[in-house]
Amino acid sequence: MKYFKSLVRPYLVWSFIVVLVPLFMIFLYAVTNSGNSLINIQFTLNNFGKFVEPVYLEVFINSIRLGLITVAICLVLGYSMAYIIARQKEKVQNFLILLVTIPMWINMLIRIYAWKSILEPLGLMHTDFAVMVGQICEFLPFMIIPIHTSLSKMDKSFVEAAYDLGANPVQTFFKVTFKLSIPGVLNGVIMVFLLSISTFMIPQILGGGQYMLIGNLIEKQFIEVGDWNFGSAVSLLLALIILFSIRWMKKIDKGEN
Amino acid sequence: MLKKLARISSGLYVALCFAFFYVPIIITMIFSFNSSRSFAKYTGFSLRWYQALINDSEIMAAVGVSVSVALFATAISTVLGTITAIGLSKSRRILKEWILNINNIPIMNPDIVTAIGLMILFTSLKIEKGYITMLLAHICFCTPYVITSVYPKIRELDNNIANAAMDLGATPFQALVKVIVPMIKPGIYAGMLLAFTMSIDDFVISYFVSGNGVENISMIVYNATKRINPTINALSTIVILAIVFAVVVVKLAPKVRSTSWFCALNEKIPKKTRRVFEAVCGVLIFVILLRCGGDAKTLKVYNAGEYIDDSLVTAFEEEYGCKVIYETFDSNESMYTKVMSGEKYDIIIPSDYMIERLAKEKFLQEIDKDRLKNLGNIMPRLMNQPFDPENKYSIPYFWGNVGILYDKTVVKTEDLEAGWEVLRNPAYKDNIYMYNSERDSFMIALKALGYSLNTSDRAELDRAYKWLVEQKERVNPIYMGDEVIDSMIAGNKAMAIVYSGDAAYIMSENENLGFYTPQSGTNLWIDGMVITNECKNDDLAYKWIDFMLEPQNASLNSETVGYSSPVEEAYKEISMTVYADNEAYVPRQDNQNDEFFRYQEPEIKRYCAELWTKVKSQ
Amino acid sequence: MNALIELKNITKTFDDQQILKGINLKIYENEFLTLLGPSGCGKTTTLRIIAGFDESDGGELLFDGIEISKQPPYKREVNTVFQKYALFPHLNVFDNIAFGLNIKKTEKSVVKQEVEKMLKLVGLSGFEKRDVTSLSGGQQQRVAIARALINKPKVLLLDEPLGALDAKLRKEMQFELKKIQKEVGITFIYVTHDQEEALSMSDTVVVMNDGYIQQIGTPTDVYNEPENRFVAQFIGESNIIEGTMIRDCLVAFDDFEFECVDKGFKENEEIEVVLRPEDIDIVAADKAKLTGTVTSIVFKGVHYEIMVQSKYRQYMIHTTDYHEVGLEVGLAFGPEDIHVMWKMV
Repeated sequence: MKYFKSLVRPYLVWSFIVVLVPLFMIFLYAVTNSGNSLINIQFTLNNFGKFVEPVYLEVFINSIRLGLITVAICLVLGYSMAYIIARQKEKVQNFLILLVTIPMWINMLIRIYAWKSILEPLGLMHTDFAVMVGQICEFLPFMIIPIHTSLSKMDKSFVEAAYDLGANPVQTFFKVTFKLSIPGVLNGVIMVFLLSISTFMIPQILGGGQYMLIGNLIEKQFIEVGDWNFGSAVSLLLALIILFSIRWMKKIDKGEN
Repeated sequence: MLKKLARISSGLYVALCFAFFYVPIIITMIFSFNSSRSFAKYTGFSLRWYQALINDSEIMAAVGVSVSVALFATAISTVLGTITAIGLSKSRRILKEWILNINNIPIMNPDIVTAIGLMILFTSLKIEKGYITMLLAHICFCTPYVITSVYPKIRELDNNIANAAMDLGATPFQALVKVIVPMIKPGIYAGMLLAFTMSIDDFVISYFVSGNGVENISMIVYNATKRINPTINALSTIVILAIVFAVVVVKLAPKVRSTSWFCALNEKIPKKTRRVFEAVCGVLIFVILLRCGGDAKTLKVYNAGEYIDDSLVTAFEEEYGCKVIYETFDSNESMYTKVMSGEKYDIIIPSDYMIERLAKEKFLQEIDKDRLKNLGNIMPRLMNQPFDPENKYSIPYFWGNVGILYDKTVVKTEDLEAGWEVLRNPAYKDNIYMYNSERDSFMIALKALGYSLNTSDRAELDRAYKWLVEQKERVNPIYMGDEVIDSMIAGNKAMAIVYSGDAAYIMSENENLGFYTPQSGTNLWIDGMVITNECKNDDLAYKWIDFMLEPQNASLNSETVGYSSPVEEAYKEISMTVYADNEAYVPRQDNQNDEFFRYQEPEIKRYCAELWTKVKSQ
Repeated sequence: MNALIELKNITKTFDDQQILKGINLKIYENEFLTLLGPSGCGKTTTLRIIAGFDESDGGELLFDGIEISKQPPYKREVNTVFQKYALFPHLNVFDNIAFGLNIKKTEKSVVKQEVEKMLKLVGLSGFEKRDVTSLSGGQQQRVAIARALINKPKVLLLDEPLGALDAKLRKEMQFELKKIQKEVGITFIYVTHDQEEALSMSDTVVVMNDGYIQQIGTPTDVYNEPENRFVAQFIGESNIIEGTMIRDCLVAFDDFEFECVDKGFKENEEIEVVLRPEDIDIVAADKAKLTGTVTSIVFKGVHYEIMVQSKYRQYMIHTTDYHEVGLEVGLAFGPEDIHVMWKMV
C-alpha cells in the first residue's frame, strides 16, 4: 500500500506548476491592467466591462450561434450516421468506425488546408459556407463516435420489448432508442460545442479576416494587439462558458436517468 | 421493396458522408503530384513538389521538430502518467479526487486557454521560447490523456498484485517493472498512442508557446495556408499516408498477434525493438544537444512573411560562415507584440511608423553609417524621411505604396475615376478584397474623405469608421491577408487592396490586372532594416545590411518578391527587365496627397483598434 | 518453547477507525494457527501486518526474537496466499511459480527443478505452460500455494484462501492444505471467518472480534469452553442464559439451581451460562427442572432442530428424536454440560 503512494508526488508538483499556476495567472491578468509587467499591479474589472460593449458582445453571440448551428447540423448528420453504422454486422461496424476515426488522427491543419484546395478553385473561399463546411467536417467524427458507442452498447431486447408492447417504429425510436442513447448524444454535443466555440484556425483560414469569433479575439489580443489583460479576460470567460455548458449537460444527463 | 429502398438510401448516405471526409484529403494528395502550381487544373504527373519538399530545409526542420517533440513528449508523459496513475490507485480518496479533477482541466479546457496560460507562464518565468517550451507544453497536455487511459486499467487489478510480488521477494521497483507495468500494458499503449497523436497533431498550443524559429508541421501548414504551395500538399500526403498506415497497423495488430508465426516472432522482437528505440532516442538527444549547443556565430532576423528570396539567406550563411535564424511575422503589430513579450532578435525589418515607435521606445541601436560600405547605393530620395530623419535607426529594405488592383475585364475605367469610392460601388458587391489590417483600411477611408492618414481627430476617425461600415453594407468586402495574392492571380474578384510590390508580382502572373492609385492620395511606405539593442553580434548585423544593399542581391530579392528595391541600380534594372511596363513596380512619387504612416499615440491606436473590431464584427 | 512470531500489543488505525486495539499473540514453529472472526474484526489486518503490507501504529512484532515491524515485505521470511490468489495474469503457471526464484536470480536449472517439485506437491504436474487465467478456481489456488512455498518461507500466511471455492471443493482443499502443511513442516497462519474450517484444520484457533483477541485455544477448547458470549455465539450454536454463580459448582438460572463443574467465580456473581443444543436432552415434563412447550421442529439432515418455549426463553435443542409441536416437555442436562462464562461488559 504505502509503497507506491509517493509516485504521485512528481505529478502533483508538475500539475501545480503547469496547470494551476497558468490558470491563476490568466485570472490575475484578467483582473489587472498593468500589461505584461507584474511589478505594479492594479486591480480592475474594466477588462470584463468591455464585454458588454456591442462589438465584443457581438463576437460572443456570433461564436455561440455558430457553435450551436454546428452542433445542430453535426447532431442530425452524426446521429443518422451512427444509427446506420450501429445496425450493421459487427465486422462492418468496426470497419466503418475505423473509417470515421482515421480523419481524426490526421493533422487538423492539413485537413483545413485540404478544404482550401477544394474551395479555392470553386470560388467558395471566405464564405459562411466555407466555415460551416470546415467546422462540420472537422467535428462530425466527435459526434458520431460517442453516439455510436452508446447505440451499439444498447441491448437489442429493449427495442424488441417496445415492439412487443405495441409501439410502432417511430415511437420505438423516440421513446426507446433515442432516450437510451442520450448519454452518447450529450458527450458528442459537448465535444463539438467545445471545439467549435474555441477554434480560431477554421474561421481564420476558410472564412477570411472578417470572421471574428472568440478564438480569433483571443489570438488577436495576444499576437497582434498585445493586450494580454483583455485577452486573459476573454479566455477566462470562454473557459467559464465551457465549464457551465458541461455542468448543464451533466445535469440534463442526470435528469434523464 | 420499401426495405430495399431504405437500405440503398442509407448506404448512399454513408457513402456521401465518407466522401465528405475523404474527398478533400484525396484531392490534396492528387495535387501533390501536379506538375504545375495550380489547384484548379491538373496538368500532369510530377514529383517536383516532393523534390522541393526534401530540399526545403525549413519544412524538414519542422518535420524533425514535430517528430522529436512527439517522441520525447510521449516517452516522458507515458512514464509520468503511468507512475502517477499507479500512485493514484494507492492514494487516499481526497487526494485521488483532487488529482483527477486537476487532470481533467487540460482535457476539458479549450486548447487556446491552455495555450495562453502556458505562454504567460513561460514569459513570466523568463524561459526563452523555443524547443524546450514546446516540449514542456506538450508534456503538459499529453500526460492527462495517459493518466485517463492507464488509471482504469490499474483499478481493474487485484489490490494485492503488488503485495504478492513484494511478498515473493520483489523490491517495490521490481514489482512495478515486472508485474504492474506488464499487466497494464494495454492501457499504457493506448495512452502512448493518444499522447503521440495529440502531440504530433497539435497546432494551437505550439503556436502560442514556441519561438526562436522552432516550428512544427502544423505551424508550417498554418503559415502556408496563405499561399498556394503544392510542397505542402506533398508534406500532407506523406503525413496522411504515415497516419493511415499507423492506424491500420495498430487496429490490425491484435489479429496479427494471435497468428502463430507472430507469436514465435514476438518472443524475439521485444529486445530488438527496445534497442532500436533506445538508439533512436540517443540520436535524437544528440541532435538536440547539437541544436542547443550554441553555434559560435548566429544572426537572428525577423522579417515579414514572403518578403525575401530564400537563397539569399543561404548565400549569406555561406559567405560569412554563420547561421541565420530567420523568422517571419504577419504584421507589424504582431511583430511588436512578440518583441515586447521578450523575444530577442538582432535584425528586424519593420515598416516606417513601427520604426518610429521602436526608436521612440529606445529599442533600437543607432546605426554607425561608416560601417556600411554600400550605403551609397540607395536612392537619395528614399533617405531622410520624416519617420526617421537622417536614417539614424533604419536602412531601407523595400518601398512602395498601396493601391487598387483591378480586373481590367470587369472594372470599367470610368468607375475608377471615383477614386477610393469605387470600393463602395454597389456594382461590385461581393466582388472586393479589402486588406485585413486596421491601419490600411482606415487609411483608405481617411484618404477617400480627404483627411490625413495620420489624423488624431476622433471626429475624422469616426467618419472614416462610418465610411467603412457603409462600405461593408453596400459591397460586403472580404478582409484578406497574404491569401489575396493567389486569389487575385486566380482572378477570383474584381478588385483588391494590395501593396504595390504584391501587385507587381500578381500582375506578372495575370495579365488582365491593372494597378490604380487614387488621386486623393495613398500611403507611401518604406520598410527598413533596424538593429535592436539586444543585438549580440553587431558585426554580423552590419554585414547583413550591407549584403542586402549589394546591387545583384537587391535585384534578385526584388525580382522574387516583386517589391521595389531602394538600391538604385537594382531598381533600374528590374523596372526595365522583369517588371517592365508594370505600373505597380514603379510607385508614383509626385502626389502631394501621398503620406507616410507616422507613429500613433497609444490612445488613438486603441481607439482605431476598437473601431476596426466593430467594423469587422458588424 | 520459544515463539517464532510474537505480537506484543499491536495497534492499528485506518481513517480514524481503530481496527486493532492491542493484539498479543505467540505463534510457534510447525503450528497451524487460525485467526477466526467476523468480517471487520481485524484478522486480515493482523495478517497483513505480519506479512509487512501494513505497518502497525504501535506495539512490537518479533520474528525469531528480532523486531521486524519496519522491515519491508520482500525481506521477511514469510509468504502469502491471497484471498483472490493475486496470480500474475501475464505469466504462465511456470513463471508464476518461478517468480520468487527468478527475482533472486536463481540458476535456471534449479528453478526448473524446484517448480516441478512444487507442481508435484500441489498436484498440478504437467500444467507448466498453461495460462493461469484458464485454470479453475481450485487449480489457481494450488498455483498460489506453490508460488508461495517455493520460496521456502518459515511461515505461510493464508488469507481466506478457500473463500472463492464451492462447498465440495472447499472440503477437499481443507484436507489438502493440512496435508501440505504436514509435508513441508512449517507454520501456517490461516485467516477465515468460517468456524467449521477453523475447527477442522487448526492446531490453535484465535477468535477475534472488534479489534481484540477473544480467546486463544485448541479447537476443542474454544468450542467446549468459550470464554465469553461472543465466542460461544460465533462458534457453533448455543443457548446463552444469564444467571448467578451461587458458589463454586452451583449456578442459578431460570428460577432453578443447577450443579456444575465451574469454579473460581465470586459468590453471587452475575454470569452467563452456555448450553450447547446437542447437550440438552428432551425428557418427559416431570423428569426435569426446566419445562416448556415444543414450538417448532425442523429436520436438519442428521438431527432435528427443536425449539422449546420455557417460561423465560426459547431453547434450541438438537436431537435425533422426534417430538410433536405443542407437546409439553422437560429439558435435562448434566453438570458437565453447563459451561459458565464471565459476563461480557
